[in-house]
Amino acid sequence: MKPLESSELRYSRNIRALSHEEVKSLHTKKVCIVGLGGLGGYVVEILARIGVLNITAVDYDVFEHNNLNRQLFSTEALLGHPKTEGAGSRIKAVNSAVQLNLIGEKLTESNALGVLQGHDCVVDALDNIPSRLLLQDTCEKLGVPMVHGSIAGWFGQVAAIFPGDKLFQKIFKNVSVDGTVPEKGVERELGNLPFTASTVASMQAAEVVKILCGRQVLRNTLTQIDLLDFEFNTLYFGDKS
Amino acid sequence: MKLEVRLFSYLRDGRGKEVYLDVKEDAIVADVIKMLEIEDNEVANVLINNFNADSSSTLKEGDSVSLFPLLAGG
Repeated sequence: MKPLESSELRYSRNIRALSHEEVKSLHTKKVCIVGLGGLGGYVVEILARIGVLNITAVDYDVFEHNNLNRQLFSTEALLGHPKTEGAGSRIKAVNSAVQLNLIGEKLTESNALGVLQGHDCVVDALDNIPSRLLLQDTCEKLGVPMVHGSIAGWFGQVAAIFPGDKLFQKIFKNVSVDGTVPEKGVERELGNLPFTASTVASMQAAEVVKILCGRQVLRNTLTQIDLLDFEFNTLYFGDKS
Repeated sequence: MKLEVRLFSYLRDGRGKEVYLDVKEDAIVADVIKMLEIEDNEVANVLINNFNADSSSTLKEGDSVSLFPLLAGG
């Protein structure tokens, strides 16, 4: 029996849960993660470890003290440094085969198409609703699926959104007033806990991998998790895939 | 008329998982939200008897109303 190459060993624990073909396929896929806060850091790391070798990470912000409780790439030494810098050094150390494209800009109407085009899947790791709507609109134009995640305190939510689904128009409908959505949710009062961020980010990464591998994911649904009462509830907004 | 209200996530704080209310005949979901002293913009999603609804939906005797909060952090 011929010895395994180091790259085969690296991904050997993916096998069976994923097929050899799926693991190889992940190497060729491109994923863009928008936001490198509590969710984005974990999503980038999980995708790099599982073998997604083309990753774009977008964040214009720098690390602050109040990020240290949950943001994977934040360290005391990196306080005041760009979050993209933290992502770069960490991912290089974890999986040097990853082509990591770091964009230190805020996603805006003028740059969104350019930032997101060419990716097979986009991850919403943002922290405000108007930017999420821009992300969904741009993914819709580009025909790219995206995976939404958001958190507040002990609670979080995840949804896969495909072109045509326009899920945000459904899940934010009740809080829209004359077409305007609020900037933030209750996370302002509840804060953001590390295990909520890592749980929701892991769920997002699972959805991304399923999408990249062509596996079935729930569509037109929103799954809310409650780590305080340990409940998962899925809301349905239309046809399931 | 009597209703069951099921609350999710932080909307349970100080209210519990289920609340049973006696409301006026022509009540809508917004009336229930107000009775429970929840801010309008705190409820992102509403179900009535497990079907999608919104804050303007009219209620009837025995309905089960589920209220889910707005979560937007990242």
